[in-house]
Amino acid sequence: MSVVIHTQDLTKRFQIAPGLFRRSARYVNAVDRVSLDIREGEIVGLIGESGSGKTTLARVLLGLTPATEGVAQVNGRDIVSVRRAELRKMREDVAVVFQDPAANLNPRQTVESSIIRPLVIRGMKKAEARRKAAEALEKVKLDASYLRAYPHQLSGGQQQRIAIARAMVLDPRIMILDEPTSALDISVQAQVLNLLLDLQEEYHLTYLVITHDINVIRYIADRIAVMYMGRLVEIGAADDVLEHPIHPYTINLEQFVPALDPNRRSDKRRSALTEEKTLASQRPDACILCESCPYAVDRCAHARPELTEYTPGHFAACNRRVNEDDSSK
Amino acid sequence: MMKKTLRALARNKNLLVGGIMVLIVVVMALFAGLIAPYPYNEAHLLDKMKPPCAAYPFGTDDFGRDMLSRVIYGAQPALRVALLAMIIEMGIGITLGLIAGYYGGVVDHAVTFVGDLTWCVPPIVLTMAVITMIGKGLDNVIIATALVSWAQYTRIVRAKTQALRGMAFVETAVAFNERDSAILLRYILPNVMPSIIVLASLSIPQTIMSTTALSFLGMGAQPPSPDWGLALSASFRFITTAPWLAVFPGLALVFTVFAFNLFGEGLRDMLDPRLKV
Amino acid sequence: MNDALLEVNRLSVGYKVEDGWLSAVHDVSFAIRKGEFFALVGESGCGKSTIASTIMRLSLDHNERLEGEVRFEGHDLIRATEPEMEAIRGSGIGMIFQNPLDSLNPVYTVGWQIDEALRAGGMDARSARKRTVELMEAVQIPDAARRANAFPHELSGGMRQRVMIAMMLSRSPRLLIADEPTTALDVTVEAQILEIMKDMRDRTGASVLMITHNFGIVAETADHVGIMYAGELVECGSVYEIFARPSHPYSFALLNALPRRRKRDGRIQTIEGTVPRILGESRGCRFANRCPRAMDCCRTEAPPRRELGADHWMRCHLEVNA
Repeated sequence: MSVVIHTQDLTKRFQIAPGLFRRSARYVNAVDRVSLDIREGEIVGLIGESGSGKTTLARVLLGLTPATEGVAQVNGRDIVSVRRAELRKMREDVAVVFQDPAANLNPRQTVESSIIRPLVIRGMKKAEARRKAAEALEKVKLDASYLRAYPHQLSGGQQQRIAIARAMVLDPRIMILDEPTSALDISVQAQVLNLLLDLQEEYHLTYLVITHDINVIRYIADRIAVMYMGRLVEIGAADDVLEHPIHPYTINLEQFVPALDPNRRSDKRRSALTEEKTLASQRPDACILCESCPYAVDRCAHARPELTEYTPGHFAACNRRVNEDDSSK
Repeated sequence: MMKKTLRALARNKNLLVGGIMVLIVVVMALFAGLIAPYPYNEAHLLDKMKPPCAAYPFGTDDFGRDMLSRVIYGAQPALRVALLAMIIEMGIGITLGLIAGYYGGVVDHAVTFVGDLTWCVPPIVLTMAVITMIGKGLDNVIIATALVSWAQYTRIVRAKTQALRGMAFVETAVAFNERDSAILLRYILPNVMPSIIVLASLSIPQTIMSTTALSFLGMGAQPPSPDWGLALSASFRFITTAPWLAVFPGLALVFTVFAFNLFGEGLRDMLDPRLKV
Repeated sequence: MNDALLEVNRLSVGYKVEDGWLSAVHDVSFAIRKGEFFALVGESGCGKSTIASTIMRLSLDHNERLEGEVRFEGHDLIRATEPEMEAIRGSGIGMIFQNPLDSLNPVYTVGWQIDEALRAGGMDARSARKRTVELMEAVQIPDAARRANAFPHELSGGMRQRVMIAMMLSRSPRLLIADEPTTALDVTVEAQILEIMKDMRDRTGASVLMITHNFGIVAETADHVGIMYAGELVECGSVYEIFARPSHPYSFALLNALPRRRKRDGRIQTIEGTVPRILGESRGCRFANRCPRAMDCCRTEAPPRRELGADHWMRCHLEVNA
């Protein structure tokens, strides 16, 4: 399987405190040296809490914000050295659906105008674009009567289907889905998740699904990547990451996810590793968890752990092999 | 909920009453020739300084001109200034606001700085300064007013553009290669438009007031224009002997300003997205 | 059920809208016992939040029509006067919302705001601050004495919600109503807030009415669960019963729509159709138009209450079979 998204040490730096002189300004890495490969036809779930940098990573991959350094390639096209023509070409292969159904569509355009617009930009004739729009609506299981509607006349689920239809209309190879179902009700979420899975199978799409919801990720992802404070801390096959997490952050996170089963309710008190941390406390040459991690060793405070392969295809950025050490205790 | 309904009704009333009043002013301006009993500059030399009577319901002035006709014709310069100034203000203000809000950075700083400068001096003083530079006359009042007041459009358009720029539908459009010009005109401008319309309808009375003031001071309309400000200025010395000369142009002015204020408030309530579901 | 703290009996709430009376809540009855964690769960627009604000009588005005009764410690809140309601809001029932920033005054420190609540109860300033810090410690705000001097915007979302809980605890309520209290929070913070609420219940014996759309929270915290659909309570039972034996077709479908499996194990179920908007009186079962097991009588007759076991019932025409 060929790699369609490839990043190597990708970094996006933001200035947080403006300084009168360059030296006094303060910066944070919202995306901090992330190396990630996504292969054709797979669904990668990117999970993390707010402020983890997952949405910034998506925006860099879409060319919505320039990367600061590192390598990022989409379908072999370099998007860091931002050549405009190259960026425009890259975008033809990538579509995006964001979280908020109401914000995904221009409130002043009909559904049809919204869907045909990407086609018209590419130079397609209006009549043909209209035909394609009707087809796209069929793909998301809405009938053609919705073409004339305005977004505010539709329910959240319908709006999100239309956003998906607009994404599909360009026959993209890759879809970046940023919290595509977080704003939806359970029964609607189920419909949209199943729709996304059907489309992915039928058109052999590649998905990068960004979410904070482990249950959604468990359902749809083939591989899972975990981000925390700008860094990719763990990545591997979905089963491996969920059943045998390696990184203390992942282990911690999974402990906190409410089980959808009262018999697996956790009655023991759990303490978070991560309360009240902000990106400002990033230290470039240490593990992000070095102060709170129960497994921390001396090295953690002055050596940034690199992603290491623990079992085939399962990587984590930890200075200790947590599982091994556990069993040897 | 009951109060809400009542308030909603009151809002509609603003729009309705304001709209009718605005319509009256507009009809007066457009069809002055048909409505007015006499041409505005026709001097009835035998009927100078007549108080209101059957032949001259609003009386006549010191040239024997019919005040009713002059008040009706006076709507023309008032609306002309207000509309032309508004169009120029919008043109400058919206363009700069979109660019500053969308691109940010140095352009934004520059636009905001120049805009802020126009807020630093009382607008009427600034307008008078510009007029002293470019000369008297109603057309120059239009230019001066526009140069002084475009920044209110820039301010609101810039803020809305900044907010919209980060919205998912705009980012999605960028991600499917929509060009910047199309982003601004197809995605951002239509969503800013309601606020612009409201601002425009609320700024018209301001413009009318300041033009009247300028005409009163002799910097705007020149005789024998039927301009209300000019009429107020000319009638000033007869205020005790022939009060009708000041009262009727004054009432016309109040009526017009009130009309646009009501109408503007009605529009705001109708178009403000926060009040819509 | 004489140990019931709160009893809701045949409560209906209608709102006047342009084209008639919108039936937001219809004929809902349930009870919350002392010390019980009761979750009211459903999708958006099902009426769960309306019930919460009706209990607190937050939105009572002329465009609302109320029927039935809400009994709190025996007093009917629907017919209570405003001064009586104020007393109950002050010390009987406390409420927290999704966004604590809306409920906190931005120009005062959080400590001052808790002090204020205590001083209103007749405490002097010094002991109020001491108690404030204790309360903030009780909701596990680290470094509470220092944080008491922080303004709301200086705290994270999780910390603000803790402050809200502390503020409520200052009045020692017997019932805590929490309307989507953790929806805006990260999972780790959410878990901690839920932990604090459970802990509070264990220590003070107060009951909790949790309004949520999140079945994870229900599974994690609730003793009893009520499932609402289109303004009606369709099924009610212990959390174990509801998860193990969801019996109403809607509950069944909803629980099967949860992403609890992997895609290779098959697709999760969906519920076809949309929630109806009900004006005026409705006939029959409100789920009938989407129900895979609907019968003729479902469209014409109100569904009867079927007992499914101890404290587990549903409103459905389907026969109960063991």
